[in-house]
Amino acid sequence: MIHKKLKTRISLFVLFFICTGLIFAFRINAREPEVYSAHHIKAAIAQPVEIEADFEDEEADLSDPALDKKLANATHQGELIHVAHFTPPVFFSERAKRSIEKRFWIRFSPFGFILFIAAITTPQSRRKKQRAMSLKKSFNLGKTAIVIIGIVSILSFLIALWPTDICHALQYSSIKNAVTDYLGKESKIYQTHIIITPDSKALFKKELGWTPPKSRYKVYYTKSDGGQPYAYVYVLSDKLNACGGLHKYCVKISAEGKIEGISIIELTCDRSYCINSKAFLAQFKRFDLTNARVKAKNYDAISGATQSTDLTRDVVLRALMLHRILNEQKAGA
Amino acid sequence: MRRKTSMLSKTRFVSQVFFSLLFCAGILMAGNDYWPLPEDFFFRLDPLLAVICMPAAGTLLCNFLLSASVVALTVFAGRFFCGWICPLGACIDFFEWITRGFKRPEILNYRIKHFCTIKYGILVFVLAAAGFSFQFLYFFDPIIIMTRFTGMLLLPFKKEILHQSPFVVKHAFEFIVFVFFILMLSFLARRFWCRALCPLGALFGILGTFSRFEFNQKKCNSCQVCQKICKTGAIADPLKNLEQTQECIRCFDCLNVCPQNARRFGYCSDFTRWPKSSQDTVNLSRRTFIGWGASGMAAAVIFAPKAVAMPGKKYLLRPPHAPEEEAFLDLCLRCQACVNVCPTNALQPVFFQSGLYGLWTPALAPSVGACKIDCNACAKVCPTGAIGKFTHLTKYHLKIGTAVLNKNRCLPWAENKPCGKCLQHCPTGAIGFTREDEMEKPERIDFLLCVGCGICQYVCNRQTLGPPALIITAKGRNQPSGVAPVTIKTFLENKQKKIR
Repeated sequence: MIHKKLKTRISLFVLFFICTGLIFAFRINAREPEVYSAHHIKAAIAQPVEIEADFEDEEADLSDPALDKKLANATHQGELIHVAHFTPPVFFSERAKRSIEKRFWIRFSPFGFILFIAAITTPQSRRKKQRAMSLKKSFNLGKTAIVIIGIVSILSFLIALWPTDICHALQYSSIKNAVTDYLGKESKIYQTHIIITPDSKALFKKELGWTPPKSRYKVYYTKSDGGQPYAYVYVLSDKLNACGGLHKYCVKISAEGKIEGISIIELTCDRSYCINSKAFLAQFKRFDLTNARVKAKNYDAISGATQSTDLTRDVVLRALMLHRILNEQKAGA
Repeated sequence: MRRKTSMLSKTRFVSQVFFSLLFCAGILMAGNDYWPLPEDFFFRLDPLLAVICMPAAGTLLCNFLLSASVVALTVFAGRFFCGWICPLGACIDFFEWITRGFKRPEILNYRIKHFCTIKYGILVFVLAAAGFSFQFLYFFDPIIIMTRFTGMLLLPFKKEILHQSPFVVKHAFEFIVFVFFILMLSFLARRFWCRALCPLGALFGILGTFSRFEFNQKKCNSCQVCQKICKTGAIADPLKNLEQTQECIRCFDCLNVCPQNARRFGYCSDFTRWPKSSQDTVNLSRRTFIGWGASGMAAAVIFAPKAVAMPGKKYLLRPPHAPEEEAFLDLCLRCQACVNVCPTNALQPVFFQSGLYGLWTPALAPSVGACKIDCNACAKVCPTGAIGKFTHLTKYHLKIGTAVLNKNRCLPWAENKPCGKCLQHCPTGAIGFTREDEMEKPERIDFLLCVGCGICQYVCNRQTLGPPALIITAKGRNQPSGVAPVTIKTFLENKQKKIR
């Protein structure tokens, strides 16, 4: 017959082992090749005419399952390989990698675990507990300690392992809500496209050191009672390599070409979350392209999110430049 | 009771601290040219690795000749390795010291004898599996376990302090949990792992029975204090001089506690006495022996790459100069020494992507980091030759794999957006391109020039949000590449000029 204490301890260790196994099993599922959707923004195909805003293509799912399936089944042929695709057996998305890098604090958890065990098993601690629990004669310190250690270790490892593959993304608003907040919920919202010509690209390159990746950009606007547009909203996004995340902004510009508001729609990097503060975003108000302060980067940045704040400034400038091109195209037409 | 500390005990403590620090330093300094010891120094001391790897790999591994000296010392002085050198033993001792307030259930003492046979069973198990060219040492060998654990625990801090690229290994916590599980076992009995499960301890125990150094006591009053203090339960009956030599790890705690100062450790010249007592034998029955041996053979069949459980994927990228998949799996100890030392984190342990038997083997993950052209750290640290030896200039004589291009994901093709990062970074100029609209668009990959270093996938992965346009496949693995040594030399020289 197995001794009672031995039985308890063995069962606890079996429990520990099973829980560890479950963690591993969970992680196997998590590590299965992921199905990625194409995040590339497709070129707009609508004609540059004034139409009522529909917000459809901005919110649409950009994945292409048929293409993914075709590529997954494709094989390479011949010695010179042209197009082939298979899911790499060991693949980290850039976001997953950075997610691991960022959680440096987890590295301390094994040491914390050891310290915790040391603390609860020191003789002094035991004596104190025994004294405190002297009224309860049935109290079994050894058994309790093992149970506590087991539960805490399992929980700590679960907590440590759980968010391994999760990318910290935060969506503050949808594009539709952001645009209607700026232009008024009661107003009729229109959309049109700004066509990026080679001259426009050259202008962007010269002024901002940036080449627009798209050939046309969408702009939302509303009209006054007299039929004249009086406020424009630009939705601009960019990927910041430093944190591997997507930044999506909504910029409102008046008819005079001055920033009236900037809001953040989505951030995919938790280091950047701090830039979504009213005080930071409000400083760009009333800026225009001639404002030397913006160009000289003379604005209040946020420490710890320097690149994100730089990107915010760049987005402001890009929106202003797009607005200038829009006005030029209107004048030309 | 006032305890005194014998000189032997003090020496043992110093030895444990010294070897533990040496072990940690070896992990932290691996790949560094200034480190005087071989990177696999502790592996060379491990005779079990030599015994298992030689039949598993079918080769004579000269690296393990040093372990012959450990075997000789064990035959001479007993199972000293576990108490004096073993890093896992030191770790367990440290853990038991910090948890010394916990009253360990001595109830196991009368049952531990049954548990003690398990380690011999495990030894038979791994030997039987090795006979069928499968090694399962990565679960049981203390040096391998500690190499994984120490690397995963300490290297993140080292890289953070030295501002190197962050240490990103997804499985790090699994290795740490594994060791914590071993440490938790010591709540059942002191040195539970060493007494009940460690096959290396079993091997040293068997060899230690030949030792001529023994304990004896002349004025013993049978107080049994030494019996209680013994952490491996090696003292069966001090009065009758009954000891289990195969269990004694030469910790000399018994010398410290003897109130009569009666216990002595010395050389016994009586060669006629062997075994020294009835306790001094390995109590593994024939039936148990056959059972464990059959289990080892069965496990070898189950874990075989082409067998029942999970066939391995042949397109897994392996480190440079790694042999064919099956030979690689047999040779690789899963010690993660190469993963620890990889400066770009390009080598990552895989889970079941290579089948059950491929658990924790290293694979190249270009999405995390690229294989550096001027680095041969993994080849330097590999203890068994699973990664063949190469220098900077001979590294790309053999291909790791080949890149494939998917134009539908490539920014210049799919979005008409200038990129060209892959063209800038490719060290061998393997990516052919066309020029359209003032943009260089990757057109095709030259099979001979592409060595599969993964730099193109790495930089592409940073440009695209989804899967990259260039993905390294294992096509052409281990085939000779068309890269001339002069190309690599020129690339390295240009790189040096840029740095200056």
